[in-house]
Amino acid sequence: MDSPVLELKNISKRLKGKDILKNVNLSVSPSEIFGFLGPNGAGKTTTIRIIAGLIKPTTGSVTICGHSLEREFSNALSKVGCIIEGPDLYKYFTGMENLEQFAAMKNVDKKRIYEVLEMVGLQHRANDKVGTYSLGMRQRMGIAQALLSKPKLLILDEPTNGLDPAGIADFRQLVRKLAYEEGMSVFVSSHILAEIQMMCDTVSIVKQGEVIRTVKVEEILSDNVIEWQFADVGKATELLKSKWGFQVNQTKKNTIRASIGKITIEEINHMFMNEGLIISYCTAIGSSLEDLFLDLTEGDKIV
Amino acid sequence: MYKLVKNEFYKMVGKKRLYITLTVLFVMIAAFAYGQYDSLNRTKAQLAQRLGVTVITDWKSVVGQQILDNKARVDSPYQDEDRRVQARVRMEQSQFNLDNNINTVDLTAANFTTKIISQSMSLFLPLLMILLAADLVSGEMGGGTIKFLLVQGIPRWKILLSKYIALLGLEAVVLFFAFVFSILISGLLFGYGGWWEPVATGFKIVGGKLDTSNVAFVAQWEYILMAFGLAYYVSVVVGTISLMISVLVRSSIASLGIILSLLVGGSQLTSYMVSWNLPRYLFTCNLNLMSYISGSLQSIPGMDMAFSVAVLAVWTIAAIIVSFVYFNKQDILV
Repeated sequence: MDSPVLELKNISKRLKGKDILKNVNLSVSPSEIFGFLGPNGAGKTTTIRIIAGLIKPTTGSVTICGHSLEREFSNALSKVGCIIEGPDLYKYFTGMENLEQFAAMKNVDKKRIYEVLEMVGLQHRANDKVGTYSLGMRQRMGIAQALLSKPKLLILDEPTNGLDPAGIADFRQLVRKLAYEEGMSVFVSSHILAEIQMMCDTVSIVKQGEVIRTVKVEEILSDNVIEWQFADVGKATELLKSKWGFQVNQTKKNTIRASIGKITIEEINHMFMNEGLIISYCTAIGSSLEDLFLDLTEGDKIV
Repeated sequence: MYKLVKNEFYKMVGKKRLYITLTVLFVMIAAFAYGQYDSLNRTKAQLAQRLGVTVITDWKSVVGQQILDNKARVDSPYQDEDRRVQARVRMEQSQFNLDNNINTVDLTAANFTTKIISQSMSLFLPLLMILLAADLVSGEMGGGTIKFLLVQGIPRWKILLSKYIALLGLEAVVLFFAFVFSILISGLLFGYGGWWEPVATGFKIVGGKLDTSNVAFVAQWEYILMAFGLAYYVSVVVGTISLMISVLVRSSIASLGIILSLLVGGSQLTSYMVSWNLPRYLFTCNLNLMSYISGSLQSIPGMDMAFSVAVLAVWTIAAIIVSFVYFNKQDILV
């Protein structure tokens, strides 16, 4: 396995007597899209601020591309592009002038500015003042800014806030392209499950400052959940339990759900019919990330 | 570093901050020039009336009259002692100028420029510099742009240093424009001459009497250079302290408010300095450096040019240290 692009070891942060983060460990591989999922106030943005060097952790270390953030600040951050909590650009500058500011700081030439503008589809509005931009456009401009220096690691904090559906789809495509074609690692935080599920390879779920689970999205998705409707759910439940040993949840009066793993849905439905059960309705529930998330963060209160 | 400083210059221009400062400067100088022009004409007209002539052409008669007026004050039994001392010193100064053929009555572009820079040194000039500096850092905090600024992999001290250098540069620009505006505007009213006229400096007031033993004569242009040198020093001091406040406070309105009230409130303490020692260690009570050179009445024993320059230097260095230390380790939570 390649050495990780980003590694967090035992990161804790205490702020005003409150433990915001407790012993967070993370590792992001090259060209991986890593989702950071958690309810509001779980510590997502704090973690990202620590990675970006805006906050110093109370304990623990951050390593980016093998450079310690603490000891080699410039080297570590030169490989990173990020947007943190809202694209707050200079409103009195045009989009172009904003990018020129950051380009000067990162030693990037004019050609690259045009490239990133095209990537985010803002080449026609680049000479308007950012003050006149919509939130979605500022978000795009923020992404353009993050891409300027062709970073190895892209950090995006709630990046689709304010984007319209088309914008979100474009954005997802852009992130995939960056990761799989240009080999960028992407660290995305979000509280929107569908977004993480559609975009990410790996997801870490945080709750009250702790990473409670890190999973491959693929694995969850192969965790095939099926929903049936029967007139007689009792018998169907019995059969699923006795024949395959599935765990069955009754979600509504006539509805049950079960995770069927590698067994095919045809096989199961065939069995039901042989047993003389009439299936009123049957569907595959795409994922269980939502279930997993709600399970794991159940009863969570924003602290 | 050069690029960072350039960025900061652009921001200052982009924010229109520089234009606003220069516009304020222009308007104030124009108003002051007209005020001076008007009051000089009035003085001359009044004197002409009293002397029964149609026009006053000779500045010496104006000074002569001023001496007589001050003498009347000195001799008046109704004046308190402080005022009497003041009047006597003024009288002696006028007499000295008269004896040495130094024309302080008629205005020229050159002596108007010294006049305006001397008079604005303790309040107006610092206000302009505050306008430039007060939201240098807090503005970026309030707008959230500080996040983008600090995640580009450039050490924080460099970011702050680039802002500081840009500020020092812009203060010089503002002073340069103050000079240009002053010359241009006053020249229209008073003519563009007066550069080689002598100016007497180094008056001292010892025991309520004017001591002229150390007086040196310099040309007006040299005097202007001195005045602008001191003005720049004052600007740097005020700018640095404003920068510190703007690092410490997150909202730009709060930082502007704090530094303004420090300046205005602090300068009001000046009047207590005779009997109370503490205010003389405040930077706001030491800004009027020109008064040491021009020899206007300094009634506080123990305060001289060296003292004030030293107090200001200590404030500046302390502000630099506080700014950089705090900015470097601060958690950015906006």
